[in-house]
Amino acid sequence: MDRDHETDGPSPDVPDFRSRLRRGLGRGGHALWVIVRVTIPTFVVMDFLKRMGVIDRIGEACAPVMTLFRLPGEAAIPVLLGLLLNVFTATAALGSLGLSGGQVTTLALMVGMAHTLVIETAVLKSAGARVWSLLGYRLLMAVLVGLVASRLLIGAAP
Amino acid sequence: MIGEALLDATVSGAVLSLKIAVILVPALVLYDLLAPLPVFGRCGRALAPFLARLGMSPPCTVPLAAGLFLGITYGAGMILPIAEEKRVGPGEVQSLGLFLCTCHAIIEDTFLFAVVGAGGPREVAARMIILISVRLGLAVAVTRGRQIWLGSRSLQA
Repeated sequence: MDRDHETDGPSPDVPDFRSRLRRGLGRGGHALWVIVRVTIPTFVVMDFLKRMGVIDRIGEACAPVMTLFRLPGEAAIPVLLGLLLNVFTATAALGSLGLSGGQVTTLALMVGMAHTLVIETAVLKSAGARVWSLLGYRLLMAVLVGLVASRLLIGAAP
Repeated sequence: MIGEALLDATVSGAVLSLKIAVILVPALVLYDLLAPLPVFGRCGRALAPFLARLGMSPPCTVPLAAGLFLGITYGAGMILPIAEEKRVGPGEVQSLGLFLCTCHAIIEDTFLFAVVGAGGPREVAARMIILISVRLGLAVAVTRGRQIWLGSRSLQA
């Protein structure tokens, strides 16, 4: 009984409610700031590029690759933004494209597998992982997941 | 004309930001409120045999949980001190890295993509379930697969 009580009791490392709340609000506030800072400019830039016809041209250039994933060429934009920058920028660009539910889920799985590569790879390297194999694995997995998910979630092109 | 377009884009960007924030911020606050509770410490200890099959020892639990829920940057920040104190070996760091590469920041990533796509609550919920289960399933499968592969290699050697 005593032993049970010992393991079940509050451990001394658990911070009190207020400091946990403060930490959570800090994290939430930081996320909110990043979202607003990234989403609004991305929408403005995407809108501008759309009006200039740049999005259409990127879409045409990337269409041969993206059709493998049953996605329109413009969908390459969130993928590239995700790989190079971060998921926030990718989702903001994705939000301005107006894709279908299945297309969004497929893209989410692909971007989820491979994103923020520069920063995350550097972080893993400093933790002592062999990062080149992890990097290759992430890219390969993103392609595989995209191929499978698109077959399951997006209808065949007419 | 240009001003109007600018305003339109800014407003739609702000609306999306708010939609994301309304769900994501409370979720992150809730994580910090609940995660340090002893219940989750006990869950972590209960998972130890399962983690051992994935090539990770108990000191990996905290960085794994942080990376899984919050992201690689948080998770690795917690691996660093543990790895430097030599409490986990390089093989374990690789297992942890492989797992977290496949599946991390499930709170943030899932909500971001759930909110951004079209569809009603049912479609959004379905997307969240697909995202979490596919990523988590792949992470477990790949990390376990690596252990099995390493195990068969060491038997042959």
